[in-house]
Amino acid sequence: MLDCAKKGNAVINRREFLEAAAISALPAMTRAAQGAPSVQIRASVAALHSVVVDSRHAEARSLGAGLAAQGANVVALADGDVTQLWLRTIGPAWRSQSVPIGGLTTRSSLFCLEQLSLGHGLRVVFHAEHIVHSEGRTEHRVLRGADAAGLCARSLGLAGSLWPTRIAEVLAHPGRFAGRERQGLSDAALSPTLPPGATLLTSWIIAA
Amino acid sequence: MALPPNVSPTDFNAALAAWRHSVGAEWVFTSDADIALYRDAYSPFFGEPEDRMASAAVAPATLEQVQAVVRAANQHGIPLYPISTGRNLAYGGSAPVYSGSVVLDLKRMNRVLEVSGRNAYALVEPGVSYFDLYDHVTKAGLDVWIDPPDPGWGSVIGNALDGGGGWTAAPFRDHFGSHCGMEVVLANGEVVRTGMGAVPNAKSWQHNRWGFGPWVDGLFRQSNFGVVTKMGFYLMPRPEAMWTATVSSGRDEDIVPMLDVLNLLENAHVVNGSTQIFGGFGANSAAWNIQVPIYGPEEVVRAQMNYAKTKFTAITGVKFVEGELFHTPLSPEAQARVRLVNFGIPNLSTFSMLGRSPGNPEPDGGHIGFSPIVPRTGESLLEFKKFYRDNLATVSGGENLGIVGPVYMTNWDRTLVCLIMFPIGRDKVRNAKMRRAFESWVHLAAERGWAEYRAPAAFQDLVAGTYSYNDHALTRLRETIKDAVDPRGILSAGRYGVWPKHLRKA
Repeated sequence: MLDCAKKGNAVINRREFLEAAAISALPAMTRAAQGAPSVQIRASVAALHSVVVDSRHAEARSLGAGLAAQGANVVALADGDVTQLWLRTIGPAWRSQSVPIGGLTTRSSLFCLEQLSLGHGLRVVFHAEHIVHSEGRTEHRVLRGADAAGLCARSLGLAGSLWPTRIAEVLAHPGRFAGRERQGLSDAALSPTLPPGATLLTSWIIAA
Repeated sequence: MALPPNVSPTDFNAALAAWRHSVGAEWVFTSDADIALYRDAYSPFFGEPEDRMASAAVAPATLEQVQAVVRAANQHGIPLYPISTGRNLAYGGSAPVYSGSVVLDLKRMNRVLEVSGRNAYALVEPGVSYFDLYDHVTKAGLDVWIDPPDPGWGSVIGNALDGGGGWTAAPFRDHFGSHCGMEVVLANGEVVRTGMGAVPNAKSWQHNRWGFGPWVDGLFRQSNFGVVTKMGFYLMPRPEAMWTATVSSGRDEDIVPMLDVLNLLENAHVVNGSTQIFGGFGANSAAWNIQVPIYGPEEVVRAQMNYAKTKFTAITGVKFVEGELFHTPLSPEAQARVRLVNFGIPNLSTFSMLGRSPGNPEPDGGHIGFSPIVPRTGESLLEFKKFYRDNLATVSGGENLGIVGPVYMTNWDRTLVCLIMFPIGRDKVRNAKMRRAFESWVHLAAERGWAEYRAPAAFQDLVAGTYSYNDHALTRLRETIKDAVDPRGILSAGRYGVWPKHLRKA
């Protein structure tokens, strides 16, 4: 897990500052992109077979809308249940090709999709947790794929309420994770201890 | 690369070479990343040294390859842990009971070999999931139902061998009880077919389970005496209709006559669906609700429901309310408002619901199940309810550990499974408390003459120890059989408390 806090560096570094600045500019860029998405972004987003979002959560809806505007195939889970997504979309796709998928969902949705992916030679290559506290603050942990994503908990924190946009940018570039060392099961099966009233969201990419 | 315990590098490398030759190098897994996939996702020892890990895995695709793998393991003394699809979550998953064993992963043996609509049976391999079988039956247009558990991604064979159950009608929801015929690879590599399957060119392997002479199939349930490579199952002819009624009472003591009536109706096969018993909460709600489903031809179902109503409403103060009668196949609109497993449709919805509540919107996710069996009488149910209430605080050390239960399940005639679920998360201290609580429940239940039908790998020795009549005579019988059929003790050491001689504790 790449966590800036663990570097012992309490001061924001130059890269993080630039990332935060870039994120601040993203909403305008996204709106502009809705009209005419660039070829480069469309090509990257298309590399994900599907983007799965849990539509009960505003952060996931926001991420999905942004990626849909860039041409991604965004699938909304109304209740967190992945059964129909698996039976109708992902399962048939994986039977013919081990295509990557990504999303912002609850932990249990990722757990199910990860278990189903194993038999197709796929693994969780990016995994971050976002604990939305009752007072509105969001705490982030990047558990897997931080280096390839160029992302850490601090940079997500600096993005403030725009953190879904930062995650969308990661999901738009699944190719970054190609060729990296394969890892075992993610920790999606089990939850960290959450404070009362907090909600855990999970962003992830499953790829070969 | 880790070595299995008490195995030399020379022996392990020789076995790996033999497996690569017989199965193909790409199906022998030794990297840490690949081996980590076989961890127990819901391990109560998550992140602790006691967490059970495999040393390697091998995935044959055919019966002959299974034989070759087992023979090499036997020759070199390598402990194997066969799994079907490894999704026995809450009861150990794909992690070996004996840490360091090599997982014999049968997921590639995923052929539906036969499904008969005319005689309503199926013959499948271990890697066939409920989703796979449902898909096969649906695409073939066969007028039969499967009986999926919650969730539906597990192996049909694996669930039956572990003692799992489903949610449609009796006898189909008793998965081992509705099997018919097995093919088993023994520890020496020999293949045995049970029941009528022992007849060369058998014509009735999936029609008659008994055959001739002593019936041995039960030896392979929750066992480590062989590797099951094929298994037949009876399927349920699609019923025309399903109708559920809710029987309720506001008085706690009414559960006694209510269960007496339910037993009468079930044992007489008037009520055949998977009944659900809910204890009411709050002053204004019913003390007890029982859901009573009936499957069959519509006119028969209506007659059975009328009879059930007559019997239940003879109990003073009991209400009987019929629900919607569903015709099958279900329309898409109907599918949206039913519990799909009650209609033989596998799904994963349990993961998005399990343990969720307004006060706990994101539960820990992992859980282990404490599943004691008690007689299906109202007196026993009330006794268990009091037992749970009286002991919960003490067993939990005065804390709220988030233990959920009891849920009263009626998988089998004449008994209740009083399921209590223990959440498992990433917090080691909390997991340790959960383990202590689990152990306490096992001991306390055993003092009352109750014991579990199934347990997570970490607690199988503990539960097996409660079956201790006559100085553990049953365990000693099982060990005698183990020593005879698997003298080197290579298959699933420790599974359900049966250890091979060289690993047996005094």
